[in-house]
Amino acid sequence: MHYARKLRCYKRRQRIIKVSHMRKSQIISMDFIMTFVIYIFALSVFFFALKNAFSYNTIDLDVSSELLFSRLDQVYDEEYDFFDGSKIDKEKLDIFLTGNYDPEKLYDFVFKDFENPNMFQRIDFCIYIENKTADRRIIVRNFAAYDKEEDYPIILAGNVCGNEPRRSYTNPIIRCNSNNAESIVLSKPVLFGNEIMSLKVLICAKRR
Amino acid sequence: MREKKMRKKAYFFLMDGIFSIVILTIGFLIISSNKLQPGEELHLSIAAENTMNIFSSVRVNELCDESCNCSIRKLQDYCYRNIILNKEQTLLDTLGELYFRNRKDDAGMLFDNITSEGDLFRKDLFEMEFRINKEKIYPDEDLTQMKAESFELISSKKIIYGYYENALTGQVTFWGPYMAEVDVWRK
Repeated sequence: MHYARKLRCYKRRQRIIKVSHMRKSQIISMDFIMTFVIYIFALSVFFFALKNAFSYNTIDLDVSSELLFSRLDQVYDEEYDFFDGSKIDKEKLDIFLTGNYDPEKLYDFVFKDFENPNMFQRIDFCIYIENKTADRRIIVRNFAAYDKEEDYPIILAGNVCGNEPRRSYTNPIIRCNSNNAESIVLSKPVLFGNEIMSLKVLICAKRR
Repeated sequence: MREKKMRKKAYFFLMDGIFSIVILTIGFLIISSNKLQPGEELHLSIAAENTMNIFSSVRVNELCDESCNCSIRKLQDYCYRNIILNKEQTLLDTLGELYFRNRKDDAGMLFDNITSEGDLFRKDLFEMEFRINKEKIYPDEDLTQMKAESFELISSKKIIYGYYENALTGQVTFWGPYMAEVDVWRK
């Protein structure tokens, strides 16, 4: 009788210990799972952030200023060859602008290589010469280059760029007339006439 | 008692996780703050090259007519006062000549005036220093500390030499060669 009671007691103790061990292992495995999940989450955030940190900004319009101006410098057609290193031949440019200058031909000669059909539907150019003084900036010449004339989007003080190439504009607003566009302005100091001015190219690229 | 111990253990595991997040977040913030600026070096290089190109290719007589009417105020002043003796030479050569004739302040003022009126670089974004034979010509103030602290600095150099003629005696004086140097860095 006494032995049976002892056995019952022993079995009960064994059961308690087993349950206790099960609960312990359950807690430990839960902890492992939780820690693993947190680590994986933290590592994902870290590598995601790392990727963003080293990737450049997402502007796709990337035109090299040096390359563009050197292309403008190296036009082989005599009529279009008004730019030489850091000087613009004023007389030659005026003859070019008053004659029948062709924006599509200029595009073919100089800007065609900058097309990026995977990213952009079209890229348009407005080339202008700007004289900046302390209190104002005057655009003294402007002309356009495009692949297709229709929907040419660059607006200079309410006019389409290149419509009046020899008209002077004081403090004008020059912009791309398109919502879905990226734009940059490239600039180079040049000698124009007897003054140092800036030759600027506004590039408007319509996204796909 | 045992359960309490286990809870304590779980708490430590959780703390481990939180610490790891904190450490990784700090790492991320440090990396983000050091994010590379695309094209930064390129902009500086273009500013330096553009300045050097204008100075080394434009001649004084392209900015001034026979009667010393110049598009640059300082150049006109120097032309009237016969400080510039050879109008055939480039702006960079003129600076070299002024340096040779020990008119370093005049050379510095001329450089300042041409870069300002010609809008050669963004003075709000960049700092520029012009030196001849390692002697600072422009600007007046000492930018050594600022220059040393800049992360990127682009330098453009050219060898200059030339001559000028004394109008009265006809004596020709040759000067140079000197090293002209433009340093550009971001403010």
